[in-house]
Amino acid sequence: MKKKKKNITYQKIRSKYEAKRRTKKWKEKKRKAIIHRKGEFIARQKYVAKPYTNHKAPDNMSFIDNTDEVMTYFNDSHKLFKKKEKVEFDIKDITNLTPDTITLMIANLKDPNFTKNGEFRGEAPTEPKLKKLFLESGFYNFVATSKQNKEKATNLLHKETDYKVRPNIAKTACIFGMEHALKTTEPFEPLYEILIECMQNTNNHASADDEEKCKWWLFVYNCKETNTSKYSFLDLGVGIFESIIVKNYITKAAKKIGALPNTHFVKDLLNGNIQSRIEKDNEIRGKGIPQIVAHSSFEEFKEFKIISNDVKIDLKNKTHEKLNNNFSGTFYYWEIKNIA
Amino acid sequence: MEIKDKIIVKTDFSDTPGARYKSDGPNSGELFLEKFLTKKFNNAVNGNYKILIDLDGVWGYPSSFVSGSFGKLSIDFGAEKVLNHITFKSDDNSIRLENILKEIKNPKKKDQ
Repeated sequence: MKKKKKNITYQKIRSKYEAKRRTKKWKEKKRKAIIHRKGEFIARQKYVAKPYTNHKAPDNMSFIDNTDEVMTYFNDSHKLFKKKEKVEFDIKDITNLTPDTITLMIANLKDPNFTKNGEFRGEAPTEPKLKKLFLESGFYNFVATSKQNKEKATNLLHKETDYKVRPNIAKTACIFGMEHALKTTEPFEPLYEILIECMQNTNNHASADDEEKCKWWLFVYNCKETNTSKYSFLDLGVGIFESIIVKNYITKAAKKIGALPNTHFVKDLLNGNIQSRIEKDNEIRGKGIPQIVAHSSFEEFKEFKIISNDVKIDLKNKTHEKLNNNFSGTFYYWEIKNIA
Repeated sequence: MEIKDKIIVKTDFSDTPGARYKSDGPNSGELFLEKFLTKKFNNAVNGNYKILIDLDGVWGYPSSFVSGSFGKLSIDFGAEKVLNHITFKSDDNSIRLENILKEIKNPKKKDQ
């Protein structure tokens, strides 16, 4: 009896569905779906058959020294991806390449917002020293599948996608650089604290959405020639100056209309006088950057720069400059060297 | 006031203090505050004794960790009370001790 009732219910549902499939509206919907799929397939075929657009890099591929030109190069690459071009990153003939640029390149190429899921390719530089740096960086671990190249990585490169702050990674990065540059594995507190604060700051400056977790990248390159360890830390968020909250009404209005450049806020930022936009415990926040600034004066730090939005700050020389391009994110770069 | 309790950060908690909040990552100031600091501090206040916090042997005390733990404790109970019941040992580094004391005495940043 129960089985018969179940069968009747099934038949009712089935016949209702079949009737729906016979309607004009249903048939039209299905026809459009087929056309759409065909269109997508043809577009994909066209894209695959499309040649790569050669995008020649500037000779000096040092983001930290030649910031505007390198930024223009990456901004132009992004424009090509937006135009649905396949991009060939032509860095064969470059004459200078620094670890910071490799970090930026990997972070960009792994960011779907940058590549728009487009295809890209490229070869290592021809110049032997630059080629060695490129292969040892671990670049191919992130952007290619070539097993041969993967095995050559000898430097520390970390991409964080889960937590914002990773004390174990900070410690590993400290030991990795200190063993090489300072010839010790005893804690060097300023280095560890800087790394943690860089990670923590991705919370404040990396994203416009308070709850969104931002990816960050850390690259430590041990340079045998100079006995230095070069640290690059970056997030591709909104940048420090885009995320600051200005309390004063007049200053706020001036910033909004562009009458007040970002360089105007550098002093306050470095002194910890910029208000965090995160409401929770706001009164006790804002000490991370001042701690980084204070630590950068240790002699072990040979170079210390921060690039965010259209501002480049040199913490060692206590200078800053306005850039022509906007870097959407924050980039910290420093080198450590034995002072003995 | 007699010292009757102790927190050795390196062995009791971690040699790698981390972020401000537990949601930010491991070994946070918030975790240290909840797991050790508040409990032991309350016991010390109730028992009228001091606790010794041994700061040595760690990789560093990031400002976010310090303000998320010692800063919060100071805001909740007041700097005077905190300093009456907590004493520190920092043989490795005197600057870090100065920074922690500064945070306790003035946990809120300057107004703009």
